[in-house]
Amino acid sequence: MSELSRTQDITDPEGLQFQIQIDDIAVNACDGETVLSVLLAANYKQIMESDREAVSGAYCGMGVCHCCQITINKQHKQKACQTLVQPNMQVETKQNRFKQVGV
Amino acid sequence: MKQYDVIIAGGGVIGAACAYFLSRDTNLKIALVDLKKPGNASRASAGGLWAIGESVGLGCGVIFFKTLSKLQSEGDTEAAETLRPHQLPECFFELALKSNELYPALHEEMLTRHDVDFKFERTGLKFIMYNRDDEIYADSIVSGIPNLSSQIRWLDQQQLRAEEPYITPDAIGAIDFICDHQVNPYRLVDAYTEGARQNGVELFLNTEVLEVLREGNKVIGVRTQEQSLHCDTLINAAGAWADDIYYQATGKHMPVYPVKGQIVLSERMPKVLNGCISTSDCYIAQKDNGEILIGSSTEEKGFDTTNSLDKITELSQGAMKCLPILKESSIKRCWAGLRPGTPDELPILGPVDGVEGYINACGHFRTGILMSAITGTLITELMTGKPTSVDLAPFCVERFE
Repeated sequence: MSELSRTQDITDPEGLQFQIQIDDIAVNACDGETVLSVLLAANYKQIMESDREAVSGAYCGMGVCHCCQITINKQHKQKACQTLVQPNMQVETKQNRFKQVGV
Repeated sequence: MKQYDVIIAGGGVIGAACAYFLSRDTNLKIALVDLKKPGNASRASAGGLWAIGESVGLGCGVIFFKTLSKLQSEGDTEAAETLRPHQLPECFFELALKSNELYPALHEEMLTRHDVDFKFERTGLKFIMYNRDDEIYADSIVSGIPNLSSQIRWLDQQQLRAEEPYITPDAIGAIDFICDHQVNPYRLVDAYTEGARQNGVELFLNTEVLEVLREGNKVIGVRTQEQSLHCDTLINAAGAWADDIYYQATGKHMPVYPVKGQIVLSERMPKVLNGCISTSDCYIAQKDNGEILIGSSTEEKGFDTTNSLDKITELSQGAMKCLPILKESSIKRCWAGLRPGTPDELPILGPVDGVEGYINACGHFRTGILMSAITGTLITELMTGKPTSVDLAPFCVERFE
């Protein structure tokens, strides 16, 4: 597994490193960071598609605005900014119930 | 000094319905005075047109029965006897069923004439049974209304699975009331109000009736923040606040009091319900926009409209037990409304002995949305001197004296 090299990070990552799946692509992550932090580091900007098909990116990054709700381990509407990464987490961006189940 | 034939105090679903039917069927000059107070019931409603369901105590009344069917199954007949299924009297059924019949045509009329859609949906109301207690209870409901057996279907486990695949597989069956449907309650109030406005009713919105003006034993108008409005007849459609108006108009009190109901609303979901659902814990209705509405508690806490964690938890757990997919959903909103309750759960309709120029249209408790159409019709019949389509004697305010 390649080391994390994050140009934006202020300090070097110290925690355990592992991989998570973002839309079926393996991405490196570090224990203790949020899903949103991994998404932004991997250059995902548009991450949520709402039930009414509006696409958005994370806005507040602190759990208030509901603009980064994505599907994590098949659970819809999880806040990427409030969820800590776990090894082999399955993250799906721009997915929602209505796309997967129909109306 | 403005002079009207009729002033309606209260613009919830009952007041708005009176304004609509009066303006449609008469040439009277009408004013509707309304101030939205916290807890007004029309905007808190679930929008069920559950004519039979509500008459036999399902819907909001359901929580009471857990105790009852337990007593029955434990063979404690004496205690169960005092707690008969909570069936309302014949006159209530008549009113509810007559009102229910009016909605399909009213929906069409609102669409074509006034271009408003209150989302009338033919859903039916299913009472879901989990166990023998629920079966006993369902039996006692059905045996209590032999004349309406054509409106009831029994569904076994397979039929229920086929019709409502998202309902828990633990359910052993259901009874379906096929004539009980739903509307969108906000849109219904808006439709009546807009229809009335287009028919020439003057709307005084955000306007409070501060005082009822009297001359001797005759009501002659109301005073609001801005002006006095004079009228020949005042219609009291003030919901949970109706007693204030009544007291000022007559000098007496009547037993209309607020009964709090808390409601939980889920986020928008794909279509998981084909019909409205009642269980022994709660009722569940998926509205036209996909949100799932879960109600409702029944509490006498005065004009308090706060939500409490215990009731919200009870309702949510009852709903998740019935509809497991809700475990994957978030709560979008909770709120509480104030039903205008009366001691015998019947509305208070019609004029008052010894008081001129005053008519009651209040006390509709849990069924204001359902009863709005017939109430508007009856008030219109009263105002035009026609014989009323339902005998108003059981609904007069004098029954409490």
